[in-house]
Amino acid sequence: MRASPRPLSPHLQVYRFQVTSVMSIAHRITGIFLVVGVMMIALWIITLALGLEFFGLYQQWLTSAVGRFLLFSWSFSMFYHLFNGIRHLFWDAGWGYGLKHAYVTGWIVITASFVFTGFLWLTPIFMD
Amino acid sequence: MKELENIYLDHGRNGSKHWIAQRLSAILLTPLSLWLIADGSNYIYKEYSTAVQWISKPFIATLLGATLTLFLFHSYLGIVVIVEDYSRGLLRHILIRTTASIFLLTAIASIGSIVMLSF
Repeated sequence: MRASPRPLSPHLQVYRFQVTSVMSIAHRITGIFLVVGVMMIALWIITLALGLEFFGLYQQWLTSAVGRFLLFSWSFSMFYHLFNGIRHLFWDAGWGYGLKHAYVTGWIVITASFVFTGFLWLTPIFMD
Repeated sequence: MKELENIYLDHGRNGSKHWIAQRLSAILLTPLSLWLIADGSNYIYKEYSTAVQWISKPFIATLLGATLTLFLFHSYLGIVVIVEDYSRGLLRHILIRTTASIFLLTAIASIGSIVMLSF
């Protein structure tokens, strides 16, 4: 295979920190984290099919501090990636490109992500 | 098959198809992921029999299967973009093939499990 002469994407340290750039990078990072989460859900279903013994072991790990932390981070990533994804869809439709719009919608996404994650983890069912 | 490979294993030459597939799966996943969080969070920490009862309902099994498949597909499309941003040549080729294989195997295993549990 011939090596591509096209340049690679600039690495992260190139960008100056501001809400818009941090949010763009966070979209990708939460996306990667969601892959970890979807694998955890897939494994939950697979152990369910494997039987009580496997499910019990997996459940035990999910209930541990590490398991809970991963699920918590996953739910935050889910809300963030979802809300910011909707922001991206509006951009795709040509709306919200102005600097002011980009900042306002950005802060809405950040606030909503924290609020939704908080509500989810405050429900008693989830804390059993 | 060749056509499918061209679209999904090398989006450099099929950027618009990759773009559309990513947006379409994103739009479908918007309600589905909210459903998964709202309903699934009630069962993730429940005991075995309760979880099996939930998952074996035909409606839930179908919805969960669709959600999971779209999640894995959308994940795959996203990982490919990252791989293509930061690697090239043979390494890129190997990474994309490996990613595709992992997501495909996960999809087969989890869809198979749902089918086993509900029929």
